[in-house]
Amino acid sequence: MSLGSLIGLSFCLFCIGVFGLLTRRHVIAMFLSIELMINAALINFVAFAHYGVTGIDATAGNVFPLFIIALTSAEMAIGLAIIVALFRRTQTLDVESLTDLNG
Amino acid sequence: MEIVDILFYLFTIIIIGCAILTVTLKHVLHAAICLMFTLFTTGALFLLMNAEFVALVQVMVYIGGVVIFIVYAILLTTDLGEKFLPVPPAKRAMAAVFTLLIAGIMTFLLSSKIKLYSDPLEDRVNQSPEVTMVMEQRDPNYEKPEFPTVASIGERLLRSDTMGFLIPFEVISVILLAALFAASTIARKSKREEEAAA
Repeated sequence: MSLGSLIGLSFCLFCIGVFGLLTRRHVIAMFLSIELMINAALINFVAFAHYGVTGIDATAGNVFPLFIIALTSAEMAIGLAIIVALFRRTQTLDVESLTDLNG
Repeated sequence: MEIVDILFYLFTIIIIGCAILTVTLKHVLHAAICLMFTLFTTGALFLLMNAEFVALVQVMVYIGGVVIFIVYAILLTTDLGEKFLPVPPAKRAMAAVFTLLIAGIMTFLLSSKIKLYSDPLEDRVNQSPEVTMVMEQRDPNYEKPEFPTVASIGERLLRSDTMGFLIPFEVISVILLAALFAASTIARKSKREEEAAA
């Protein structure tokens, strides 16, 4: 386990997330892909805190993931509330048919 | 090969495998369960990196909160016998090309730094000298922790000087409260819908 291999892992995870976000048609499934990408960023933060350059502050590096997790949960709460309201209005969660804002 | 390395490769295989299942499984509920496994194994990986508090928060907030919430949203919005949304192969191929493009750009940017990242850094300092100095002034018996403990993270979160995170900590609590109100307001049935249902 080295910093390089951890960066490689988070890199693969991020790319899988991008692929899922682009291919999925279900709104909640797209949310799951976003979660994967955020998780990749978290791995990067913790890896750099652990294998940081000499003199770096690992405690501060561990505080940042906490803020990211808190913000993500807030984002998920609002996003899923919007999804529930959307489903109640339109009875579908297919992004191909949600074209009300298409201009 | 050390035990840490074996565990790391095991966790990597589980994380990547479950992540691929998350984006490819047809049923959204199954994908959410796979995401749960991914997040849990990432928590285990955080433990390997001595980040015990982040691992705890990951399991408690992500798996206990976010994923359960997603599962509730899936159950609220979809029928279990719902027809799946097919993805045309052309779109899938286009997404794969775009992903490979991003992967190529990132590999190009990282390749110049790869030597820096693969050096073993045994002699690392986990705490900035200023923090150690302040803590030693406060407590003569203070010993610098080997890795960020719950105590050191809590200490940092509530410090109000330049080394602390007090203001972001307070702001995030306000944001969480606002998100709570916003989510319940958005998801609530409007009066018009209630009358239509009655």
